Amino acid sequence: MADTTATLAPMATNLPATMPRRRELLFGTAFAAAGISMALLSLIGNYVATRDLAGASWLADNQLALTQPNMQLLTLGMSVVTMQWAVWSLTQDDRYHTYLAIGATLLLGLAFVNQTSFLYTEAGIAISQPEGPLFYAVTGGHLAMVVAGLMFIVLMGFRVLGGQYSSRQPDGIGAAAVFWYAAVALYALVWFAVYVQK
Amino acid sequence: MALTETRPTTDTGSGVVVQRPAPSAVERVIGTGDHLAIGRIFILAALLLGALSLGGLALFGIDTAAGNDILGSAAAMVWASSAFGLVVAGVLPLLLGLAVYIVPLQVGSPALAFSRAAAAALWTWLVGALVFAVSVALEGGIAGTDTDAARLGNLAAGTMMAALGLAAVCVLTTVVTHRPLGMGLARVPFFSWSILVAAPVWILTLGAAVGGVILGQVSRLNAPGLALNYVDQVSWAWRAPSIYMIAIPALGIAADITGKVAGRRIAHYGVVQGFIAAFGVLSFGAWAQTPTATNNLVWNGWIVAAALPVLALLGALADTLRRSRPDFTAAALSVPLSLLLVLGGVLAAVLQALDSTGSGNLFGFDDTLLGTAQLFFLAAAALAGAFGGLALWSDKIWGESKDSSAKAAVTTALLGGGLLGTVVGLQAILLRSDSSDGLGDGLFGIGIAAGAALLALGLLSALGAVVGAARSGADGPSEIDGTGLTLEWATASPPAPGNFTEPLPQVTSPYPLLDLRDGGAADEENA
Repeated sequence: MADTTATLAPMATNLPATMPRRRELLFGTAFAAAGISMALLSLIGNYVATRDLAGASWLADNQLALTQPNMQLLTLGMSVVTMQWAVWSLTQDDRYHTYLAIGATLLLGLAFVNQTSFLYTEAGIAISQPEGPLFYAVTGGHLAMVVAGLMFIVLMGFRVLGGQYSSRQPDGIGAAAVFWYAAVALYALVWFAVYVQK
Repeated sequence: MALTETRPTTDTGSGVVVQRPAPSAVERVIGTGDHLAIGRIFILAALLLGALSLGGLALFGIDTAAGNDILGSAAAMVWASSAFGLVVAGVLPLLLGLAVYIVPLQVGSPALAFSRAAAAALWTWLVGALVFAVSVALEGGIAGTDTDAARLGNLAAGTMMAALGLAAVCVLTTVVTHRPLGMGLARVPFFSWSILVAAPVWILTLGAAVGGVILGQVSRLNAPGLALNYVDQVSWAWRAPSIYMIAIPALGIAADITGKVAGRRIAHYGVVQGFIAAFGVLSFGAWAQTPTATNNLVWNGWIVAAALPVLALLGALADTLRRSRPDFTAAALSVPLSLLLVLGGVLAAVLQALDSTGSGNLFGFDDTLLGTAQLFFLAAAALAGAFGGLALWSDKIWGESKDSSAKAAVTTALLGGGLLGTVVGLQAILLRSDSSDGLGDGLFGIGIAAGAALLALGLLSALGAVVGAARSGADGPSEIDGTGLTLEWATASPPAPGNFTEPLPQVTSPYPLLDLRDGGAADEENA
């Protein structure tokens, strides 16, 4: 058989000078978000099944008004707009609006964390009651995902400040946006399964 | 690459040259972001921990044969923890280690995507596995009797699964984003293709199982509660269809071995890719977590359908092999053996599907034991495939190959895995009436002990082959193998830093190196 080494170099001259842009961080984040989402979806499915078995006694002793979860959904819904604003601004090399949009998203995300804390206080669900572990596993797991998303956005925001991302390479902000959208989509599910159908 | 910039070894920023001390060997190993080193450590640790898990199973078998005089109340814990350990501490990390090492080479990439995340996954998994072993020693693990140790075992189990999910993200991203120009997904080598199929299934399945572990941890359950939580929330991942997922890479390895030993193209490349993809899709089972999920037509059809792509792949590979006269190597031996073991696992699942047709158990089989038989068959299939892969790429990984030890590993994988799966499957069938004691404790225990010991011997033989090859190959990289078909053979063995010192050939078919030897790309559709 012919020697491979001898024939590699001539063929290589056919290669173009530049390689295509690779969306490594974007894909990696999407795959990781899928895994995390699966953990939460599994918990939500478990929550719904257990609640169906418990019947009318489920959360009968707790006040779980819909007002607060609705506001939380609205807050996260607005953050989707501001996050997409950040992505779009970066692709236009409009750094001022990118910073503004990232800041607004962080503010809305922190508001969601605050709202969740308030909801926990208002609902008064103890971890020791039968509903407690599942309720906190679902909502706490989602809260952890939101906090992770906020940290991701902060990190990518610093990288934008450092000049690592621009219209030529917007992957970091795009990846943070993908993770954030996954967190928001999951909240819509939590909102419906836990709070609306309570 | 996702690696952030690192400080140069000499810092001249202040005008004063500061010479940084060279890292020690331990620092180099722990701090490495090199996929070659990460892959090797994954492989070595998985072989050791897999053998340890099988040692636990052998101990359970001896204890059962001896009338439960050795383990006492810990017998169930040793059984469940060893079976879990075989998959999560042995099979999956071994396959991931192979993927971390080989996939970047196959797709012509100088590095693994998120190599630091892969290193984090490796060390997190390894620490999790060691903590899990400690919890088993303290009568925790899975289904243990000590509450504190069982909580530790639950946490360690979740940590291991999350870490393996992270490693799967790294190899999946590598296949998706690191391919060179011309290498569309239809031209990805079979092993990388099988990882492209398997990794999403692993990420989703392990993610869902981690959800169950989180619930157990948040609930602060006692030892019996944690055992019940494991059965309800996690154990579904180790029966059909989910357990099929551990054998997906074995299909890709078998196809790559066939092409290499036959020295020719595999006809209808896309169709063969389709067989692997179909098996991958049919191995997704997170939708069937509840015990009652097995009592419906969709589950039954899903289980049975998984046999079809495996049979089709077996036919396609046999067709390629019959056109050539391949050498009787360990890698070639692993192809039929691993596929036979996959079919054994699917057969055990089909028995369960037949039994669960309708609303109850048609034949009264023990479904839990049938699920365990599936696990053993498919774990052995995955191990046989991995041993074949280690034999095929031994030069590439260690710089040398030890084919006799590798042959022993592949053969004992078939014998051990086949015996384990058959004994447990038979027990499940024979226990169908209340008056039956199945094979009897003595025969059942001896069968388990012998099967687990043989399989452990296979892992140790593979470890011996690996260590022997590493010692022989320590002299330095060897020349490029002139008989390779895919890009991993276009570099020295083991590869130099950056993997490829020469520019890569343009990829115009799934076999770029064969194209070079043939003087241009062949028509892959009509090959």
